[in-house]
Amino acid sequence: MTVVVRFYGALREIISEKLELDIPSSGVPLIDLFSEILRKYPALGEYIRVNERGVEVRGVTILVNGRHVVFLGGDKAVIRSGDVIDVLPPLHGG
Amino acid sequence: MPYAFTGKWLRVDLSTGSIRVEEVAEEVYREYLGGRGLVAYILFRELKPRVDPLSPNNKLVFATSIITGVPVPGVNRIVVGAKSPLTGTYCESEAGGYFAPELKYTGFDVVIIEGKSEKPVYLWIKDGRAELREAKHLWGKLTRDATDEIRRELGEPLARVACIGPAGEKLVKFANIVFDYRYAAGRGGLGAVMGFKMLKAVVVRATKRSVQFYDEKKLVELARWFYENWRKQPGAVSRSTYGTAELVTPLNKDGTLPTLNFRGGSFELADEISGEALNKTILVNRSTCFACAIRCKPDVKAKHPYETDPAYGGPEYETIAAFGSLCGVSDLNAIAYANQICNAHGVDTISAGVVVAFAIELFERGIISERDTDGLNLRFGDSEAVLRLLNMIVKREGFGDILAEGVKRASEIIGRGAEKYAIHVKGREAPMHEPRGKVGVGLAYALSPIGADHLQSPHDPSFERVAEHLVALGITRPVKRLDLDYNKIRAVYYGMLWWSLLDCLGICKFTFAPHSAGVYTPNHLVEVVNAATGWNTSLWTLLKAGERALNLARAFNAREGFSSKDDTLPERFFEELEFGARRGQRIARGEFTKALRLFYEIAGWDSEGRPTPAKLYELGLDYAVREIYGDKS
Ligand code: SF4
Repeated sequence: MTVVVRFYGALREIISEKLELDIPSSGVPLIDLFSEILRKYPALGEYIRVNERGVEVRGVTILVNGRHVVFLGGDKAVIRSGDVIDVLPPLHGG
Repeated sequence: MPYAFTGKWLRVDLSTGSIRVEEVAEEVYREYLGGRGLVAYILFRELKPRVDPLSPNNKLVFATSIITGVPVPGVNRIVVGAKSPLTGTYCESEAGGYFAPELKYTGFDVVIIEGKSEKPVYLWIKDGRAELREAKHLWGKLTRDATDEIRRELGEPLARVACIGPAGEKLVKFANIVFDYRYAAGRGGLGAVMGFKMLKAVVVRATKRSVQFYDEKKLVELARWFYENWRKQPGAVSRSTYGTAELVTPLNKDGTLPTLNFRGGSFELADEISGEALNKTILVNRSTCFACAIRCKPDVKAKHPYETDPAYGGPEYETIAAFGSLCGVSDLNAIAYANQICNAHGVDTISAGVVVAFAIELFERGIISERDTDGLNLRFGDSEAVLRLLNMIVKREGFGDILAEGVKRASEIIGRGAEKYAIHVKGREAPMHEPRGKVGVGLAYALSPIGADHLQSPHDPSFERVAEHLVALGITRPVKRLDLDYNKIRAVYYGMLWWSLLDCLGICKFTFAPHSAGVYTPNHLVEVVNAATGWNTSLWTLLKAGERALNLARAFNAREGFSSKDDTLPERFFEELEFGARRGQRIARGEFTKALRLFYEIAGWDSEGRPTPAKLYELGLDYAVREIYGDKS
């Protein structure tokens, strides 16, 4: 049972490879998934924090299967096997 | 002589051929700093209200700033301004590269061009001397050919050349000024102002540096700090690796990549026009601007049948989106070729792409047909048709002549409901940032004194995390991306003052926080200014100068008759995004209007969006009070 987490743009400087993470068959709340990722990659803490308020994004955007996580229940979204999560960097003018 | 600036302005009257040097007091620099500040100061005081932008009475200003020429990354923009022939508003546009420091080193901080020449000329400035030279043989030439010819005939291969292409000569309303083949003061039609004046080019060369900086050692230290630290900032590394094209993939996934004339926010073929794709296919090198370590500018060589010349640079994100997703085109070679046509003929790539996408949508909706387009069959995704139409626009041929007026005027000429599909604010085509996913960007589009512009205030994601650099600007609370409450308005307003300040100083916004690629912080900027000038200034004083310039530009527009009715967004942004990751999202009109009103009050503007007399007095702009409100106020 795995999910894929991909990082883009500036975030690739922190996590260059896509992550394949094992999750329980019942799925995992988004908040737990990101706690785990942050434990392995603390530098990501500059952009994403997990605290009592939930997953706090700091300019980044999280998509689950191409849909904004805000449309899927935010922190409460449950991630299931086979889901693909995209983490986009701060999207700025150019 | 003061440190860091020369105190000399060059005034050139093309009608009489006279060239004068004026000495300007340090107080003016203290209050206006340079760039946008000085452009607004000169245009407001010297242009009569309602002057025709394409008349001898319009003036064209090239302004450096008090810190131009310091060897510090990011400090390199030349700011060019005039009343815009595209919008009728105040206009300024910034170009990177090397021109600004070179101009300052020749001994002049500002060049003001007045009048209109009888025959084509160019202005040649070298080491404190200036002359007008005949340019009949250059008229009609593409920017690269004209630049090469000028350098050859002057025997000055190192001269920096700002010139117009044939589109500026033909008064295309979004013609630009091209610096050294590839950097552009792109927006608002400044190239048409130059074309009307019959001024083909402004050419500068300094063999020695005519200014001293107060503390050169400190400046070198500040530059070294940037060089030693930029690799620790992931956003800067990404920008250095992929350039601005890095934005294509994340914006596409985010649903904010303008697609098919802003109908949707994701483009199914975005992978083919991404930063990664550009690096793999057409990139041959990366170039930079004066003293900058980031080197984000692409040099590209596109392939058959669209071979391009790397000297013209390569498409930035704005250009990739404007000719790519916005027109449904996924061929990077064709996009690079469109970029080259724009740089060679001298037109703004954003406006050009928006105008083409507008025409395609009209065609697909049956509002125009082959009878209108001189037989051209326009479809989203047809790169060949896009390039043919672009060629017609830059040459003002057939249907291209109408589109060369810009999307607003073109839609009025075409009629038949075409206005609904013309995506602009105050007549200036919207850039490639979807405000339905970044509502603060929408506010900035509506309020910008130059019409829709993406570099007026940092974009909403910047405000989601409160970092030290934001606190320094007074932004103390995180604000969510789609919020449009008083916290967002406050953040956008403070951000606007900060970016206005960067435009006064001629600074690349990518190099300073809170841009995602930014390395320096606001406090670094204070150190740069003090080290350059020997002043003992503060961030507060500098931000006030940014505010002064913004208010003066708004006051200019108020005097021209612009009001709250012009501070709005095109209809489409109040409608739902038709497709993409943010399908269904729109800006709520009532909420947006309320936000604009609150913004006015926070900024010290009246219900018509005019700076109040009190605000103008507070900023020391008493002459603007007299101009706008008369003597009685
Ligand atoms: S970041 Fe890019 S655009 Fe800005 S000064 Fe550096 S090279 Fe030029």
